[in-house]
Amino acid sequence: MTFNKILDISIKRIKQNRKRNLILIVPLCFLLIILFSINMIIYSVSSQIENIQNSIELRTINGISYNQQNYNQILENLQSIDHIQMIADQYEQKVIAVETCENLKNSFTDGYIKIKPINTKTCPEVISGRKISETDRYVIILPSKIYANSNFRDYTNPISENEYINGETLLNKKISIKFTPDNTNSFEKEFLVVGIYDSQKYNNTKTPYVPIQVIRELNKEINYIPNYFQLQITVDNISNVEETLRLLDEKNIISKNNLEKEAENTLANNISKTEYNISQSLNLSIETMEIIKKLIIFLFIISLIILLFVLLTTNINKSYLQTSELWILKVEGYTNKDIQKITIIENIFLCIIGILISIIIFILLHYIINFAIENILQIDTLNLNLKLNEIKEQIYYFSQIPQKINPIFIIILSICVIIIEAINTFIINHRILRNKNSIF
Amino acid sequence: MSKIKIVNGYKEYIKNKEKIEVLKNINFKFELGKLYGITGASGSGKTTLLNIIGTIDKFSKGTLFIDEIDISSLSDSQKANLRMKNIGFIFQSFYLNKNLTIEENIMQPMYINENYDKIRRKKRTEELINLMGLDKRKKHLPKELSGGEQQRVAIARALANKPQIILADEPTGNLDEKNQKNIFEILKQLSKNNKCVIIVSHSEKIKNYADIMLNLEEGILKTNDV
Repeated sequence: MTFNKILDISIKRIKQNRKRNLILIVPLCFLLIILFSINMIIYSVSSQIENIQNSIELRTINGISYNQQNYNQILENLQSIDHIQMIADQYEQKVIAVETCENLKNSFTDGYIKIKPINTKTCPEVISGRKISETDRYVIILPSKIYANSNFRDYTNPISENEYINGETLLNKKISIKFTPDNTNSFEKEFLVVGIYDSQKYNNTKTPYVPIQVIRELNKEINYIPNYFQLQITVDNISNVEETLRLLDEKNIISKNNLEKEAENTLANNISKTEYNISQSLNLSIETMEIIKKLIIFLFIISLIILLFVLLTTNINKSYLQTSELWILKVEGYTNKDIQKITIIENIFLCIIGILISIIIFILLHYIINFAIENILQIDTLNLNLKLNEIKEQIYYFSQIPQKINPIFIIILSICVIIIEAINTFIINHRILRNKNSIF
Repeated sequence: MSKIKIVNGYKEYIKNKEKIEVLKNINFKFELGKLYGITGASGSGKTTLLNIIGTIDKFSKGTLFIDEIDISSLSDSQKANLRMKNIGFIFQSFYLNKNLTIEENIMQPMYINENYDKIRRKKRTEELINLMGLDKRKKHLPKELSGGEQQRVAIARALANKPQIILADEPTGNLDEKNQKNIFEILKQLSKNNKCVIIVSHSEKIKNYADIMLNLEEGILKTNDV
């Protein structure tokens, strides 16, 4: 029998047996949606862990004090630690106390930004344009989504989409930034936007980066003389922050105790203490996320086993329901091979339909849940009870994790479902067609 | 020339490591234009014999000839082709596709017959519907029909590809007296139209219609005078 004929008969059978098809499609869709959701959570959590580990700001340790005598010795010691990616003079940041940019203003924001210095090693990965080079001067790297506003926002009043500016629209254009280092001084400088980094990946919508040499030049322009001497280091990975602090302590450069002791006295150490605590708490949150991830992976494996079981049992039910039909086909002159091909193609089609329905429902559910979360966050719960506020806070933090799904996973899972279904159909039908007592 | 010829037919099963002889030394010729009735106690091998004649099963020893062709020499697809064009099956439980209309059920066996294109399929279906008196029922589903009507649909389906051999396994087993008579008359009429009709039945009425009565007793086929 030709393939076209088999295909034609398979499609006819699908159209004829709508109710029976549901035996396979409904449980398949249900389980696939669960598996897609679990995969999305695993993938999102993993991406978030990766994002945190990649975030430059959270890998930074400030407040490494030095004096003119021991500078070289401290620098040498720092350079001997493998995990340290970048060493910079911290005082150089002092020039950039308050900056505003007219180009980053809109009707909802005042253009307030927080510039940070980078060198070629610490430049974030760009999604458009290019990174900075050694020779660059008045260039700037912007986030893909910019929130340039002095108004502090958190879960109680989240930033709405229209408050953001799209960084891509400013690529290769010049923007003017007004520096206000103190109450009497202010000056403007033009910067060329050379690159755009992923604001979602770096979890940062507020920080443009400029070459550190520019900050040095600006310091000179305003005759700024630093009143303390400290170094700032960037660790290669957030999971190595703890280890780096231990090594710093070992080399008598910095210790947690010293840091905490001095923290009360100097502004710089206050900063370092805060930064360190952020790193530490993030490490804890990564650990928590890792535990959640493991739990979800366990759930995922259980769901996969259930999927396999459901696929097998629903197919057995469906096949035995059509025992007489298969035998009638046989007595009408279909060969066993023809019957196998017809039923396998029929079930593969049903699986494909099930997979497509699952993907559509999954996407719809995803939008509905996000829409619900957005609306919950808009509710003013401040005047309501504390419990509701706590729930809202948790929802806010949850919503901050970028939701991602791995398309390769969907493709692999779909192929596996189709292969399992085809093999299963073949085995069951082989048994049915061998047992003559099932009809005569 | 006989349509079906069985030479030294022998069939055995192995069940729980025990050998069960179902058919022993069967020698018989079935001819066109005759209605054969096969009776016998339950488990005497009637259905097994019908399956073998229908090329669904095969003898452990011995040979089945249909139109002088040794069936054991045919491949699966050749046997399927022979079944499609030469043999029509009728069952006690009708086995109609409950999701298809009467018309679609009758049309189904013609899908794989290269002699039937869409127009000829439609024409042949109309013929069979008229023949079985189902004109007003053709758009109905099987569940909307009486048992007798369903069996007439099953007969029409068995006749779709114009087979010369009709094998009926207890065709009246689920029917009342009136419908039993009706079905036997249809099958008798078919045999008169130069078809070889073989009916396995427990019904005593078969004797009124059969040209030749056969009895299977402990695997041995005996001819009874009608």
